[in-house]
Amino acid sequence: MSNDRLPRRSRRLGTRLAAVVALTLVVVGGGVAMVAVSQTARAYRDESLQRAAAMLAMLAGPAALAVAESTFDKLDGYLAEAVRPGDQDVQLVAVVTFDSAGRAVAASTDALVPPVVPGHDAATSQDFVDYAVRSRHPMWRRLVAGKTAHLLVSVPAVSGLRWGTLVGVFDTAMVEQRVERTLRSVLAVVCAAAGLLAAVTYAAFARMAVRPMQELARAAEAIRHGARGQRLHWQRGDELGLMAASFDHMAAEVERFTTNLEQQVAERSAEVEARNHDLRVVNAQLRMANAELDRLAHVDPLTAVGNRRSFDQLIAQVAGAGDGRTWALLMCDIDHFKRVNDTYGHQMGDLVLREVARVLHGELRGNDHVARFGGEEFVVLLDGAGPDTALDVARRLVQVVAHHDFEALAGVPLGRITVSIGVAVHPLDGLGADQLLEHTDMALYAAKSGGRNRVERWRPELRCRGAEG
Amino acid sequence: MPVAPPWSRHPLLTRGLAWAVLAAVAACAQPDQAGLLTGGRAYPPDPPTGEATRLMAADLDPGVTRLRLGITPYTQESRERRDLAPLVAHVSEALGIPVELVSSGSYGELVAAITEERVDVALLSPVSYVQARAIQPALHLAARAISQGSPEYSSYIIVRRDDPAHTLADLRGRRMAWVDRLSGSGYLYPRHVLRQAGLDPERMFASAQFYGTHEAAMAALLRGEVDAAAVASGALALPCKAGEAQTARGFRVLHKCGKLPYDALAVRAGMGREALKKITWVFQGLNNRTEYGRKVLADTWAISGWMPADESVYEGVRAHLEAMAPARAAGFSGAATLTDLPLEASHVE
Repeated sequence: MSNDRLPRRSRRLGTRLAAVVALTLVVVGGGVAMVAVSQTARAYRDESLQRAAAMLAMLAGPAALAVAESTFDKLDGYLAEAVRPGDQDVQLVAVVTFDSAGRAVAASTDALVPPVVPGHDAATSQDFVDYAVRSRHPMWRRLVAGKTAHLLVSVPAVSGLRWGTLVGVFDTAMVEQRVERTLRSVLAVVCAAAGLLAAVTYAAFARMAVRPMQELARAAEAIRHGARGQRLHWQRGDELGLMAASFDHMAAEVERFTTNLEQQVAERSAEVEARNHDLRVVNAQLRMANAELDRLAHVDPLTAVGNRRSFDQLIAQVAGAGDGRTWALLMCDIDHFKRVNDTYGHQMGDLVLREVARVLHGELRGNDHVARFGGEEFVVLLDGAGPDTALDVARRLVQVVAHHDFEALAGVPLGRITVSIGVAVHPLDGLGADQLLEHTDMALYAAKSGGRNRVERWRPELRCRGAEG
Repeated sequence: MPVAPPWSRHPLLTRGLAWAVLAAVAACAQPDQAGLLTGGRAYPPDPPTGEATRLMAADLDPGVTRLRLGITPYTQESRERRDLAPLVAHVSEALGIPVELVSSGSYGELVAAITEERVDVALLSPVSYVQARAIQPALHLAARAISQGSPEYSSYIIVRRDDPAHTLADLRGRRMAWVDRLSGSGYLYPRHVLRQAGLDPERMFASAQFYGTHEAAMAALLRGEVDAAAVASGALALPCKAGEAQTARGFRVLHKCGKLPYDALAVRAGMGREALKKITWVFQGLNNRTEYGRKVLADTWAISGWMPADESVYEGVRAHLEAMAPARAAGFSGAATLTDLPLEASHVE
């Protein structure tokens, strides 16, 4: 399992759903509200337009009579009276009468020009007038600049004939303000409704879905951490109930399966453990047997010192270490051993061998080795010994053996048991194990020849003599 | 693989919502900027002028070389000819044919002239037109006059300013001045109003006299010969225009008796279709809207121009005229239909 912790992001589902609901309501509700407001705005504006046109139409009759009779001065006064400010939503601010040729003939102001709309240039009005004097119907144009809103309205002045055209400018800022207020309040209601609905959706969704999901997640998490008996046990008829039931079934199935598996594993483990124990015992026995075999292979059974094989391995090891080191070989032979064997029997000969081996072994240092080389011959390896040390040790061994009381041990008059020792020192007296052994043999021979119970070191002339002898 | 949120997999949903928002904002932000207010009365376009109104030889009956224009004898003939000379000249020039002004001795004479096709075109008073139409149903109505900027005028019953009478009933036992038995505003309409008020116009007055013209009736009222007079609203304004303001201010309108259309421009029944169309254009195209028109019509009985007309506008006059028929037994001859009404005015100067 890569991530050990369960991500705690389930709250975001409710937030997102609430956001979607709020957004949808804002969009749909806002759209519907916008359409409704635009309809209302259109109704307001239509109404204001109708009122403006009606106000102008009331002036149109007198204007027609005035144009027909050319009594423009009277009409001027009449129009001036019409633009008196009041508290109406639609306020006439200027009105001009044009004759059928499009000439201004009477106006509410002193200037006989097209009525200029605040915030717009005179060309705008002139353009409107150009169309209006030719139009057979009332015309209008809405002009919005910043906070100001105006209506240009034209009405034909008809009295039997189309005598001219009235063009009025109406201030409709109050109407636009009413539209804006309506829009603002509707938007506020929509936003409030969206927010409320989002909150309700969030709460409801949290209660209906998010909390059960969190509980489910916790249960799954508990199972993951070992609480296999964890169950939801929800009693609800909806999809979550279905999911919980499925979860419980799955958890039960997992528990059963896991328990079986563990049981099987335990059984198998016990079996394996038993077999391991047996194997360990056998291994120990084998190790002991091997050790014994090893010991037997390297120890002389009679004298309990190393045998010839162990000596071969040892000297190969020491000789393999290189020519720079010094070590010495002592070949030790019991003098007149044949005589003991012949006189007192092999049993006594074996005793003498064992005792000599014990004496030799007891006189040697820890890193010196003694082995039975064969018959009544023992070989001693003095690791690290130079010629003087080797000779000292050899002489000491000769003396110790010579002074050892064999008779007390044997219980028979064995006579004096002595040994002769040939010494060769590496690398002074030869290189390699074989050569050194050969030289010790030569030295031993020299010691025997020299009278026995003595020590002789190899000398080159021994080789000649040996070759001679 | 991460799963994309639902809206990113449904671009239609996102774009649809976005467009809905845009459309709603656009609908709100952009009010209609300009337009027409239709649905009211539509007025026919101005008739053509210039060459289009010239009469061709084919438009007229063979041998016809002039157009006869008959006029109602509102004033003296000499004054008529002088006042109407610009109009006659204009019509003659526009049609491309000499126009002869034909005066009539009376309303009835003109009615007879147009119905018998002794004149081609006639400027008929409303009552005369209804009478002529009753006699000759094929008579063409080319236009109706607009006077002083108005297509209609009113019939008033007036009294002197200081007169004690304030209601129609107050006129009981007083002396009444009528204009003419065939005058709409000077007799027919006021008479109808009196009858509707439960009064008997034949018997309620101490005396009832016909003065022939509106001016004469007003003059008699001013002189004190009578206590009330029935006159046209235009006539009331006439003295003002003539500088006799004091006279006009001496009256008070006691009752308004309804509105009448001004004079009809009738064309004889046998006139060809093309000629009728061009005559109609010439008259309907002449009015006070232009300097030229004002000059032509300067002295023409305060006529401002002519407008298209249909038969229905004279329906009120016809109804009042017919309503008078049962009463005729007492008043005069005893004819049963409109056509039997006397064509001659029976007024007494």
